[in-house]
Parts: sequence; structure tokens; C-alpha cells
Amino acid sequence: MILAFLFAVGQFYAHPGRKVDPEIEKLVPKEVLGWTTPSKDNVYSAANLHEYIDGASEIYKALNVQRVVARRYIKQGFPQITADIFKMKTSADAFGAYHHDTRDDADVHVGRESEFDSATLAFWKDRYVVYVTAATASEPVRAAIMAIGEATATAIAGDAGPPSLLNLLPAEGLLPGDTRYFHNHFLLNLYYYVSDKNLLNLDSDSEGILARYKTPEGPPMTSLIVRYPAAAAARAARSEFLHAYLPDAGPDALAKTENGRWTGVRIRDKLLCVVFDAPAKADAIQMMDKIAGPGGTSK
Amino acid sequence: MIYGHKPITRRDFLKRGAAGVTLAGAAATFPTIAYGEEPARATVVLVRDPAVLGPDGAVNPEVVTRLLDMGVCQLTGKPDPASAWAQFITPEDTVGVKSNTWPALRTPPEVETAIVSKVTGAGVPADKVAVEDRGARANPVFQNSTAIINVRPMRSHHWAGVGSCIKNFMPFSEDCPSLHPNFCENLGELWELPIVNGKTRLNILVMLTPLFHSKGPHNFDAKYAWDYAGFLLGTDPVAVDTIGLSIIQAKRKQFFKEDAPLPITPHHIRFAAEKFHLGIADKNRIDVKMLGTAEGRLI
Repeated sequence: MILAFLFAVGQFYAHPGRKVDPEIEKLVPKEVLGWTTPSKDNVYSAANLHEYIDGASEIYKALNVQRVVARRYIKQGFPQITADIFKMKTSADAFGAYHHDTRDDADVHVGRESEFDSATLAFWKDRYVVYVTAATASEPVRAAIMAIGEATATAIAGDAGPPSLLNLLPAEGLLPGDTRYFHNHFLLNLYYYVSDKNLLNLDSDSEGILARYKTPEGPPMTSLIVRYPAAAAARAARSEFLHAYLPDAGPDALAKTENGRWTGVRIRDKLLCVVFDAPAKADAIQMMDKIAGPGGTSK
Repeated sequence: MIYGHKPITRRDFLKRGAAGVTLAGAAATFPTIAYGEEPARATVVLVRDPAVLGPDGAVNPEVVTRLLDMGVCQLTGKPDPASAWAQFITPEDTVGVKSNTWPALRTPPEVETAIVSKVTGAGVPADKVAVEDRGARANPVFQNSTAIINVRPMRSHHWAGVGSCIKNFMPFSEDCPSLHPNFCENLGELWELPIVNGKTRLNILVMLTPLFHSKGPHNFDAKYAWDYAGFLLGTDPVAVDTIGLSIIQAKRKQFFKEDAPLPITPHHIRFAAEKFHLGIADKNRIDVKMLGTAEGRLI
């Protein structure tokens, strides 16, 4: 058994892009509507994903990608179809990977959430986020893409849900399709630039969501919620944020920023909530009340 | 927490009147870094002709050659293509043409062929010129090169903001992922590698069908590319990228019908200017000379 294991490890490192992942492999159909898979899958880990998708790999690595399988389908007279199956650490990470892109098209009901944009079907379910794509999508190609996606979604047995932090977001005014999930400050900065330094002490043990809310006039208001492993970490992050970002805040931890809008921070136990760009002080307070509750503290 | 310098926050940008501009990834863009010895101004040539693209998207090699000739004549002030190309390449040179073969939007072979033709036409023996992308670092012609022509298409990019002339030297790195942190801010250091340092004579940003928006792990959807039918040429890669970026931004505003800055600010361009003194990123110091079709120019 040990020899077999060593052989397998050796094979993987000898051919890192050609090793079959049996768990993911069985999720994806081999043949659909006359499209067949002429070659072995390419399989990637976080360590070598950049060989497949270059710098975009950093996004998936920041969301704890575990394994990626790329399967190619061909059919005479039609464009190639590629299915990319990303296995993430958790369903929340799969949600995050799916929602890295703004999702503003109608759900096509594959997996938990899905979208068919141009010639790409994207969906997530359980720990998986899946992209099935072709260069162009005539009706037969679209049908094949959907069939691959539906078969894959059906084969994924689990159905773990999105980040529980979503439950804290007030529904009123929420801009759909524009909610992000992250662990570290690089991804946060990608979605909403806060600072070059990690003021909120984010790391792989923290998780956060960012949501935008429409306002009567002007740009949206942004709500940030972070859950830390311990309440002390939330308190420390609030302190750091107040010191570096809101040094002019009053005892209520609110300040009017240079764009004439209001930013405030509040914590409750392990949770930290920041509201950016509220049109009025009352709007920031109301949002923090809804998220952190009256038990939250700004001090 | 002890920081190496005072954190640069979103509010610092707001103070500068940058409200409404995306700040993602702009982190270390604006620390005060003195300019080194560099030209006071840069010149970039934009040359366009819709005839360069056929109705099926095919690239017309004759028009490519004509446009490149027009571009170098304008850039050098020389009256004819032969004397213009001779300003960049001499018969004694060994020339690496650093191309880009990203499958979804590669440097068209017609463009590569035209450049090689011009290089050999300038007196360089055929065995002293090579076209390469990912294999450039291992290519003997590049290793022994005295001159490099840098040519690639313009596209949006998930992690660097844009992929353009500066980023095109990524394959010269022995450790590409080491350049990914903070949205590829240090791409400018690639240009200090011995294999390329001081050798780049001409940068050509292919603007035939630029990509202005990225979605999905592979970044590419034909829906977000358009027929621009042009080239940007210059000796300063930072200036060329700066103008290319402004065209991408203008297209995004046109397409999305609102200010829609790139999700990631490609601050490696500005960083290349301010930290690595590679060229000029200040549009007020770039002279853009425009030739050919004015319609849809977006400048």
C-alpha cells in the first residue's frame, strides 16, 4: 500500500496537469448530446492553478480552492466546449467564487444559483463552482452546455448553503447580484478598496461579506460584515479601524468622510460591521442597527 | 499594529477628489516616490483602419503592414518605412519579438509575420530573429538578443487590471506567482531582468479587438471584445499602456452606460512609472499622435 501511495504521489508530481481526481471526475459526464471527451482531463491544485488561468488563480486561491478539473468536449462541426469544475473548501467559498463576478442575468436553475451569459453557464452547488463554456453558443451548443451543467449539478450530492453571514443582510434596498464573500484583505480591496494595510486584521480564519445598497441619490451605500474566530479579534479590528480610518469619529464611531457621506463601525460579539458611504448619519446608524442589533457596540 | 508607513486608506483618495473612481487595488500606487531621470514627455502613436479586420474577423496582413509602417514613420518622423524601422533595428542586432499567445486573444500571426518581415528587411539575418511568448526566457535568440520588440493585444485582466505591454514580460520571470501580490503591483521589475533590461526598442499594443471586461475564470467572453482596428506604438511601455487603458475605460463607459471603472485598478502601470522609472503614466505628459479612422476612437 505504501509503495502504491508513493507511486501515485510520484505520478502526480511527474504529470501535475494530467492526474485524474476520481471524486470530481465522476461528477462530470463523459458524453452529452454527441459531444465526447477526446482526451484526459487536466487537473490542477492551488499550487499550479496559475498554469491554467494565470493571475485569476489568485482569486480562487484566496477562496480556498482545493482542486480543479478541466474537461474538453468536441463534436464534429461545432465549437469545443470546456467544463471547469472548481472544488472549494466550503460551500461558502463556492458562493464566493461564483459571486466574484457580478451576476445580473436571470437564474437558469442549475445548482444553487446559475447564470447563462453569452456562451458560458456558471453555477455553484455545495462546495463546487462550475463553468461550462464555448466560444459561441448556437442553439445546439447551448443545449449541450446546459446538459453538461445539469448532469454535473445532479451528480453533486451535497447541497450545503451560502455563507450564513448573508442572513444578517437587510433585504430592503439590497442590490442583487453584487454581494461578495472573502477571507483576506486582498479580496476585500478588490471589491471595495479600504486601505493598503490590513486594518481589519483579516486572514484565513475570518470571513466577510460585502453588499451594496441603493440610496435615493448618488452612489450606493456599502455594508461590510466580518466574522472573526473570537470576540477579542473583532474588538481589536474595530480599534485598528477607528484609529487608522476614522480617527475623527465621535463616541458613536461614526464620521463624515471626504465625499460628504458617513462611515461607521460597530461590533457584536465576533461580528464587526462597517457601513461605508451612507447618505446621512441616520442611514448609517439604521443599517448598523439592523445588522449588529441594538446590542452592538460602537465604543 | 506597527506599519512600515502610515496606512493609505480610501479616505486619502477621497481627499484628492477621487470619489467615484474605483479604488480597488490602488493601495500602494500613490506613495510619494521621486521620479528618476526620464524623458519629460512621451509620444504614443495610434493608427487605425477598419479594413484591417475582415467581416469574419480575419486579419488583413497587407493592412497590418501598412498600419505598422504608418505608425513607425509617425513615431520617428522619418519619411519612409525603411528608414523608420532602421531607427529601431540595425543589421547587427539579434532580435526577440516578444509576442503573446493567450489562446482567447493572441497576437495575430499576421502581426508577428509583419514585424519579422520588417526586422529582416532592416538587415537582420533570419536566424537572428525569433518570435516567442512563454518560451522566451529559454530561447537562445532572446538570451543573446540585443533588441526586443514587444507586441501583444490589450485586454482586461482579473488580477492585474489589464494585460498590456508592461505585463507582457511576465514569462521572463522564473517565478511568475511571486509577481501576483497586491494585484501585480511590481510588474515593472520584470523590465530590470538582465535578459530584457535596456533592450526594448519598440512597444506595439495590438488594439484590433481589445477586451474591455473580464468574466469567469478564463477572463474572456467575445461579448466584451470589440473591433477597434488599431495599434498603439511607442518606445515607452508605460505611456503606451496608459493610453491603451484610457481607451478600455472609455469603452467600458460606453458599453455599461455609466462610469464603470475596471474592478481592479491596474496600478502596476503607475507603479512602473513611479517606482521603477520605466516611463510616463501621466497623460498630461504623453503626446498622442492619431492617424487613420477617427470614428469610434474613444480618445
